[in-house]
Amino acid sequence: MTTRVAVVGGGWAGCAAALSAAAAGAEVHLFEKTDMLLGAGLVGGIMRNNGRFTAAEEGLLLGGGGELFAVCDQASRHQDVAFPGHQHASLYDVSRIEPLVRDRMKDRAINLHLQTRIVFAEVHQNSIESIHCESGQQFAADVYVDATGTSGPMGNCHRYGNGCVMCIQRCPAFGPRVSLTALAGVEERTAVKGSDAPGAMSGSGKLHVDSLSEKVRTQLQQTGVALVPVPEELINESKLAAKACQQYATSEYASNLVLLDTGHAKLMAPYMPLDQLREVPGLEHARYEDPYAGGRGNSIRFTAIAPRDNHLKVAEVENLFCAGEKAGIYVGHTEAICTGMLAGHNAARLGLKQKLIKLPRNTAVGELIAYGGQQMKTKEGYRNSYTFAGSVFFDRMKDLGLYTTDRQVIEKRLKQQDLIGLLGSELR
Amino acid sequence: MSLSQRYLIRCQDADTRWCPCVLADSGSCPVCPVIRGEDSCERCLWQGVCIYEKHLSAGGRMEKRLFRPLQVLRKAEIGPDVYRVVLTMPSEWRFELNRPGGFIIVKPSGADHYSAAPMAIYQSSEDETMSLVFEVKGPKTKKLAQSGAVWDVKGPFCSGLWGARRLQTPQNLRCLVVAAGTGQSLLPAVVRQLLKMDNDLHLVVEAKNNGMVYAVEDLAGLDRRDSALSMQLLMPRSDKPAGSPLADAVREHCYDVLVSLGSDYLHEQVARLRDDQPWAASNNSVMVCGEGICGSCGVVLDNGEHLRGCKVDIPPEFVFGSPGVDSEFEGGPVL
Ligand SMILES: Cc1cc2nc3c(=O)[nH]c(=O)nc-3n(C[C@H](O)[C@H](O)[C@H](O)COP(=O)(O)OP(=O)(O)OC[C@H]3O[C@@H](n4cnc5c(N)ncnc54)[C@H](O)[C@@H]3O)c2cc1C
Ligand SMILES: Cc1cc2nc3c(=O)[nH]c(=O)nc-3n(C[C@H](O)[C@H](O)[C@H](O)COP(=O)(O)OP(=O)(O)OC[C@H]3O[C@@H](n4cnc5c(N)ncnc54)[C@H](O)[C@@H]3O)c2cc1C
Ligand code: FES
Repeated sequence: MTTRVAVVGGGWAGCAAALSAAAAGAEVHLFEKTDMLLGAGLVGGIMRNNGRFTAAEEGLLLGGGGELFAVCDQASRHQDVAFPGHQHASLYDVSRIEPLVRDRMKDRAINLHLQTRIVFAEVHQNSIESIHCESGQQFAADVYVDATGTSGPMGNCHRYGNGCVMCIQRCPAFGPRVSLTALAGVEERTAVKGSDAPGAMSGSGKLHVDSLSEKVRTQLQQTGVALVPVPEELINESKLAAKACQQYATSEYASNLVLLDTGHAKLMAPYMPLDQLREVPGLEHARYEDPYAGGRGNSIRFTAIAPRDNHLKVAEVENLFCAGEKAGIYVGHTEAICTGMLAGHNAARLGLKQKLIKLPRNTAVGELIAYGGQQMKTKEGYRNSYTFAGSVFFDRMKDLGLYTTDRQVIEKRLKQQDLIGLLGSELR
Repeated sequence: MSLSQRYLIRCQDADTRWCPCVLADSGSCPVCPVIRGEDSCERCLWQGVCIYEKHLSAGGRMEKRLFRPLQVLRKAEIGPDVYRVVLTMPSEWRFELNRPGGFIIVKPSGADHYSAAPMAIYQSSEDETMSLVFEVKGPKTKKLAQSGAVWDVKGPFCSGLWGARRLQTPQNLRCLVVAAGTGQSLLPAVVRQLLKMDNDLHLVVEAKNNGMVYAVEDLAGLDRRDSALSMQLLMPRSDKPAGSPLADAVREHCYDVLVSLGSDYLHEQVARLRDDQPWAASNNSVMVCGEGICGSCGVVLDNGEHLRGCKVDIPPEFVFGSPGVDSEFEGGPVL
């Protein structure tokens, strides 16, 4: 018996879903609107900080899409980096990571359809029968995974943010994000910003490394981090409420500019007008990476979240799963990979008529999926975001004893529950 | 009308999922000249998104707001022929409906679409309810007053206040808000917005024929600042037409911003008292579909251009206060 799985969206979540589905034995097709994989993963880079370390190790042991953590490790520019509020981070090189992932996808025989934007879904009796791309071409699969993320599109960035800033989604060139879940007729949910507006603004930008002073540049290259003090008169804490990443919403981030070396100089602030940025000593000649308008704003995210169960199956549609930001107010590459690897595996299971699985709540990944789902059933839940790396969920990991950096402890925990290799083995 | 003036007219739906709409599909988008058949983007009225691109990639598909049944949780006659109604609210509507000018279109369950009437959102709350206040005037509102547990509701719309964008930025200014009759329903959202920006407010609330002042008490809770109340009620109730006390207030205080919530007659009064300060005025267009289709909401500008009042945010000075308009005029938009 064979089955065909279509993954829509080639960010970290989609890539992980595709790898898990392929490992389980499905024929996998991945559709991505831009000319590169990884979506928001092309501008991030922070891995293994705080509880993400535990999750990455679990992912490697679970297999399937979890193998992407090895690719990230391989592309690290810096390891074991500390910056305010964060320990033992790895920073992958944003300019090297995509080809490495793409090669891995090809090795696993995944059919990549780049520059193919899905704009329509044929739904019959609560099942998706086929999807259509912009060119009108149609494609039918047995099971679908929505990994289209939640960034943009331009209308949201304009209505709820400061307008399109030409982020990595590159909507003006490749067309706006379209949600498969919405195309299937499911009503989506939205996160709520501090000020009672929908969505949240992304919390980091990217500067051109060569535009920084030599001192800052050297510090970045050598340690991976530079803390650049902000002159008193520029400190503006009010911006914090709008950020997606509550983990970075502390006063330390308001009194310093935190820069990380990911190939870009990653600026840990949602945005900062260029003139102000240039008042910061060391950044007198700074400029943002092209073509991104980091002085004006940032992308708006988390306005299109699918209702789903802990198998990551979307409510009301028989053959649709979801992963990454689509599956909850999940911030992060690690979170996208972890949800993706389960969604892809379950998609293959459904196609092969096998029972769907959940991950147990005494694993970091299982708990993230269950807790994030549970929070989506409460009003307050929409005011938070969830990540292994900080804020409410990292506290919870610590309270539950899930956070550890001891690989042996993690391995033992998974072994006891027969989880090793669970997502990496072929289903029969 | 110069291009820069034309720039001030905005489509309420341009950056939403309801764009492209039937206007784009039929080549009459108020924003995009290329869709209208011009051969360049030269006269593009950019609103943050390229509607031409959206139009092309939608390939004729469009999303429309549809009536959906919503529960009437409470209905109370709070004054002679004035009803306050609480309805359930789809949670994602809140973000649009809590803006100044947020409204819905309602009809009794199952009634044909001609029976639908636009209604401002008086209050929306986090527990997924919304309330409105309406006055019985003619056949549609009479039916609403009599109808039962479920209404058909279409929304969310947010063009109920022309010039609403002008209330987003002013800070530490003196603002005068005039509300008359059911125009009071727009008060909470307007007051909330102006207080958020730390403005000082004077309110003039006029009861109109039925003597109902319903909004003032509900406003008291809105002032969140520790300092002395920044909201001052100049005249809670009056049997006189708004004209003269309003004139006194405007003469006495030099307001930076004016907001007129009431009939077109009221708007004309305010327009006449206004110097050059920015202002906003409730959108009183007759609306049936709210989708830009039926045309009942038509507004004709000085330059002869026809616009759909339900779709656009028009600076009120383009419609009200034209010289030569009879001061006793009391009707629809001054065309
Ligand atoms: C500026 C920025 C910096 C960040 N930095 C970090 C960081 O350092 N560390 C970290 O862990 N997290 C970081 N994050 C968060 C993290 O990147 C995201 O939460 C995560 O990558 C989301 O992955 P995803 O796969 O769910 O969605 P996305 O990455 O958004 O992927 C969705 C993909 O779907 C495609 N798509 C959308 N619609 C369609 C369609 N209809 N047809 C075909 N394709 C479609 C999009 O082009 C995109 O490639 C950052 C986010 C941003 C915006
Ligand atoms: C954006 C908006 C928000 C509104 N909010 C409220 C509110 O909160 N409370 C309230 O009591 N009224 C409100 N109205 C007005 C309300 O819609 C009308 O009073 C109602 O439609 C009258 O219908 P009728 O059949 O009872 O009266 P009719 O006898 O048909 O008309 C009475 C008056 O209402 C006007 N009117 C008639 N039909 C419409 C229509 N389809 N759209 C707009 N005006 C119409 C007429 O021009 C006339 O002045 C609002 C109107 C608009 C455009
Ligand atoms: S109400 Fe129908 S076109 Fe405006």
